[in-house]
Amino acid sequence: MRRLYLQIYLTIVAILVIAVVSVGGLARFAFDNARFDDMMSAAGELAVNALPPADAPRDRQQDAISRLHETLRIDLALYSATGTLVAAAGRRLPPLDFEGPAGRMRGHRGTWLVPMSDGRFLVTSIPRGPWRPGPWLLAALAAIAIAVAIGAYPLVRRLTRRLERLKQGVDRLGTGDLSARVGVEGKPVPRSGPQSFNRSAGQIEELVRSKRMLLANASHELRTPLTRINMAIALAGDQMSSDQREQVLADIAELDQLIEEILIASRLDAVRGPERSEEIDLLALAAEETARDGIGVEGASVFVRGDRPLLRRMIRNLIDNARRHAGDGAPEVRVNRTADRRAAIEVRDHGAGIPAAERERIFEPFYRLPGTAETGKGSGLGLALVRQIARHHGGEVTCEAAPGSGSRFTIVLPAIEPAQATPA
Amino acid sequence: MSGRILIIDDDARLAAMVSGYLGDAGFRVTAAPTAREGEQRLKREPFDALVLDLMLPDADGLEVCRRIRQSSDVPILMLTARGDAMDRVVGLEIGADDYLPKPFEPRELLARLRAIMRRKSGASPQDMKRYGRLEIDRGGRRVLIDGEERTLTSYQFALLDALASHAGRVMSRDALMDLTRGEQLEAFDRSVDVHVSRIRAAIEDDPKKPRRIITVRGAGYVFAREQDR
Repeated sequence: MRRLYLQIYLTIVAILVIAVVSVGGLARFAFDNARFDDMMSAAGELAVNALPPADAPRDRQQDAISRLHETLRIDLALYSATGTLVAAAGRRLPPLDFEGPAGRMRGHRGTWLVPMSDGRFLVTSIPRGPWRPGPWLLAALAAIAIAVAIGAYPLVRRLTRRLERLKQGVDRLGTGDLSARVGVEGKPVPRSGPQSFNRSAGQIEELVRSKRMLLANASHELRTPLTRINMAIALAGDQMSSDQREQVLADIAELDQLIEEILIASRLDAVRGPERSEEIDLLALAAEETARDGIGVEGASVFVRGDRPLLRRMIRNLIDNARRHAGDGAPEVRVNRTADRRAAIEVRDHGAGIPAAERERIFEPFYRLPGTAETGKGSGLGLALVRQIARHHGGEVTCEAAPGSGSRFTIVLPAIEPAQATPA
Repeated sequence: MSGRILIIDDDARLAAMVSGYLGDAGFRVTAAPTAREGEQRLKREPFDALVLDLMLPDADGLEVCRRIRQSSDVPILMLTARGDAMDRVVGLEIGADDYLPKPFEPRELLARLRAIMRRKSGASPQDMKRYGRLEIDRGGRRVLIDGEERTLTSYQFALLDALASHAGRVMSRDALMDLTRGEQLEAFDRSVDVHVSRIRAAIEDDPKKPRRIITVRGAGYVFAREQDR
């Protein structure tokens, strides 16, 4: 893009050069050949009319030739049909060459052979006149071309600068900077580009803002009744058995999680790149989430930059998924720095495993493995959200068969060096 | 502790329940369904704390909070929802003393209310660190769960403080021993482990399933940033 103006400008210059060359060439060509035969026969007619007939005496012929020489200031030589020199005036001309074509005599600049309609020949040389069309025409065209080239440069530069600004604006908008606008200047016509860009950007910003507002409101409004239920349970006191209480609290937690997942999924659709980001010790985060289920975590600290609640949700969902399909034994969680300096978190279960053909599809929203019953657990968004969050952070999640049995999910994220080193 | 509390929340049923719950805990509670009414009441009557919902029918809770802050230093607890556009930073910047995401545990509401009222009447907020229901009072070298003090030795407090000031990071035993070097060392090799289990006994709901200080095998300990979810 930086060189767009050069491209446009060089194209204009190239077109000018081609135009000059071809017009010049055409002019020469037309002058040399196009109507040449007509010109020659016309000149032959004229000569017949201007000169005495072929059977007139020699001195009359000579007189006519001399007169023509004086009037037209050209050198002339008249030959009979048999090729004998009849009369001549002016400088000495090259001898008649029957073999040569009519027109310019080969090898003699500015010398012409004019066949006359009565069979005689006239050889004439036109002295250098002031008008030499070929080079002059070319020079004029070249001058125009240079003028246009000089004049076009600032114009092209100005137009492309606007285009470049517009493109920068579009790029910024594309990366999620919804406040991106382009300076509006210049005459009304070039101004309309930036104006319509700004109008569209404004509409997009408005749409995204109203979507965010809607999401925030939905989040709040959906959670208020949940809070009421929480309060009701606390107020119920002894009227509820502790089992019932546990059950209802678990249901509330599940509903809360469902709301959160749906809201996160739609929020991530709306924005690209993390909104909030901080340094996060992935091992510590995994330790917090595994501790909730009383399972362990192994590995080494590795730091990533990201949105803590989102990454927490990502790890949570992977652990929940592993627990649902755990089979015998708890899921195993490992956090590591990979050989290519990225952060990896592995969650391995001992369940039935996932057929190779399904290992990509399980990341689709609401996808269920064939033959799996509706367990009523999970929103169906869990793994889709894991992938969405991983990609949101410039990473990826994959699923493979674990050695032995079960599956192993691996999330890889770009690792960073923590700014504030952990005390050794 | 008793005191007068004003709740500004448009959800009348929730406000009634919260009133009942806080009433049982010994507070006198008044509820206002709109920002307008709440602010008028606040001007007429003295309150010891304000529970303010982020979303009100007639105003934005953040705006209301900012307005109230200009004329009053009543402790303010904001009710938000996880995933709200507002996060902790914004809420605290505009003058709220604490915030609580819906759906919350009633006892957490109680603990946080008590905390902001206590803070108002004494300890400087910089010295009080809150992690869910756990509070660490660095000035007074005290640890509280739901507002109740738990006993720790001075080395254990130092260890907990070292862990908590690096919440969300895995701390090796060596790093922890370095950070607590100033303390008198009742220590030999495994001492950190021993002390951690004593601290757990004091502050964990179930010391066998710790949620606040978590062991990472082969790496050390991590103090959890989120403890009560």
